[in-house]
Amino acid sequence: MSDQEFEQLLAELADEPPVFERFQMLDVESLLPVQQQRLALFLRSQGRLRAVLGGAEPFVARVAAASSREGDRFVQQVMQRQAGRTAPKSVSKPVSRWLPWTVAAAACVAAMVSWLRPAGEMAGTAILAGQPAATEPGMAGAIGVLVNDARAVFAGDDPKTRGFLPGHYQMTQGLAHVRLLNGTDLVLKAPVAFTLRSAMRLHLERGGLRARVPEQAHGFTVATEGVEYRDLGTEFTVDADAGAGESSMHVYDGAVEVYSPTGKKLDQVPVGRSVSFSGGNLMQREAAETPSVPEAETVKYEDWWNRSQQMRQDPSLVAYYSFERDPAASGILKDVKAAGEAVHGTIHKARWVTGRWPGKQALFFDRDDDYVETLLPGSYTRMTVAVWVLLDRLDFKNNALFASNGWQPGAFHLNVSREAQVFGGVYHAGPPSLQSSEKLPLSVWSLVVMTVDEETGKVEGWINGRRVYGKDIEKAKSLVPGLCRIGSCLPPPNEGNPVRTIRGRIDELFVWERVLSAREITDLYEHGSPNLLELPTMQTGRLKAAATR
Amino acid sequence: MPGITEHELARARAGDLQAQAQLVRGYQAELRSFLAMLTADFNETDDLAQETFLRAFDRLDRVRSAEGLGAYLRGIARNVALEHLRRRKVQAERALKFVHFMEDTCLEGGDAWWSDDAALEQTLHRCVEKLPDRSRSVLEWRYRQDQDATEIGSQISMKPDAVRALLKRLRLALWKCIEADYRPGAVPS
Repeated sequence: MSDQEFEQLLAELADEPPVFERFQMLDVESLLPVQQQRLALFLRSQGRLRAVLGGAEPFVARVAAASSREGDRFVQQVMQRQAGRTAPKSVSKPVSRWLPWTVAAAACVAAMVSWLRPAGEMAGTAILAGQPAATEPGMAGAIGVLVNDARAVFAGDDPKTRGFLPGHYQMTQGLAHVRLLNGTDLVLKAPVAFTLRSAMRLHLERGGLRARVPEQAHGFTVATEGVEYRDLGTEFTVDADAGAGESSMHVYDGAVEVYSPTGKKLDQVPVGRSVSFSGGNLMQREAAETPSVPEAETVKYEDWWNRSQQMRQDPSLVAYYSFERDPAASGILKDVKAAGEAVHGTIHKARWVTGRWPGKQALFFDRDDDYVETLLPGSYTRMTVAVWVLLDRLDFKNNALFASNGWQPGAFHLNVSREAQVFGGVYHAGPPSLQSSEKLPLSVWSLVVMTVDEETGKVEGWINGRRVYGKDIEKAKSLVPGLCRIGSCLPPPNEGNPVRTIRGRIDELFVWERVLSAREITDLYEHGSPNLLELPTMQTGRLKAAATR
Repeated sequence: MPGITEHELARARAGDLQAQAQLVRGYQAELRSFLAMLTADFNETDDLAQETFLRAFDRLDRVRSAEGLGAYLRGIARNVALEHLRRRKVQAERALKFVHFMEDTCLEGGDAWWSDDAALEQTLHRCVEKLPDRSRSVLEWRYRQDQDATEIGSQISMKPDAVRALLKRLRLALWKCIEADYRPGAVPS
């Protein structure tokens, strides 16, 4: 490459944003050795810019916060969510309360057992032998748990409450995400019928499933009529029709071996390839353009989306921000309630990022002037504000999730203190002094709810479905939210603590002109909570850490 | 030279948060630099780097000495990045091509090309210091505060395209300075 062409190459790689495609197209053999060295140094120095200029400490704090809470976060989420499902006066433990936890714990034991076993040895028996789930009442033999579902309907006994024991299952509607003892994730797409024989083996009669198999479960097998698909560390889909004696399989990652029922190896299918079995013959086939079964993360998003469509029909909504970016108006936060005039918000600097699940969007607030402003007209005697938030840290004395501008009488405030306690309500006279009895966890998606009832003179705060804050207020005043900010607050001039912007993400916010019941708040949390076993950064190893505490 | 001591590694292995923070401090620059070369999105870079450290914390018992920690972290980061990019075929191919190019070009072989390089870091600092104040501010807004061209433009009354052109000029100016000053292995006092 000539010197001039080489300088041009560097210039393109220095673009904002860098033209990475230029490197993709580059024939490195066309570079002289000295040019190769210069290019390598150029790339290293460009990559280092942010780490050097941005400094280490914000990132160190971020990892430290995530790390210190990771294990507790799993335990906490499982316990909170299951506790929420338990009737207050119930003495005995319902099976569902302990199911995800014991299955997760069993998965960890299985993983440890598997790591200790010689390579190539089938791990199914060992996994079942190491299953602590059998020690819980009613849990004997459970080898899987329903992690999420989107309108899934099972025929017969519902595995949503009793878990997946070895046996036959038929799902007639919806999508379901199931996790087995050994950490294998299955996505089932209705209509589907299968027999779960162990955590290492499943017989698919008809319908489609997707399997994502972790390292410790290699060898996981999906058997179909006439042929078996055995994992070699991978993600793959299988579609089967036992009546017709047909099946097909596509490999998304890793490789899958194909065996006859007598154990004869027929083929090894690499990533990106598909095979079909029909009429007793195994054939290569063209891969479908769209996957027959979606990824596990899609299930929760689908569930949220379905529920969101229902919730927006509620006529008592003053505003509902679902945080779905409109590409045609990316500076607008849309109010999606079905009834009444929409009160869209205006996004000021906050950036669109990923929310609770892949596919779900959120706004990221991490600079002093990141916020959304919206005008909520009218006055009210009752109000509930619910917000899904993930806070990275608490920089200020007051960190406002949602608040009216200024302190005018009737203003609404929902804040988190530097100590992670929730407080606020309606502003009448003097600053609210009470704070929640529990703290809002950092680095975890949480639901914060504040209700105000001027008729009864009560303000209540809720964190993740639990009531943690309550105070009496003067009755029969009006709530006048007016111009409000999401993710921040605009205090009056000369007020202390002028900056109150949160450092974190918000991905859903509701305002109702009524007080939600405790049951409604619990439902809101249960249906919206990121699932128990598929937290974004929680891999099997992290489950192990949580289980061994 | 390892980013942490054997004692700190032992404490990090035992779950000591301060030692883990020190570990992150010691290795974040090289990991984030590597990941930044695979994705232009700052948030994505830091998400991947965070995942790398969290995975490493779970498996620190596999690291025998602080000497081997850097290579161990680089291995995890590489896996994390390629796993993340695997569904984006073009990006994954580019990432692999990039990694192979750097490995082939590195005179010391293996993944030493992206291990910590104090000489490069200090050269970079010196070169930034030589820039005019306004240029340094622009770089700070971009790299420290993650502002995009539109946001930077609003602060200095420039159109986004002009800010992008300015950032490009600044990067090239830094490159010329680095190329002139950088001496591998030399750590200026």
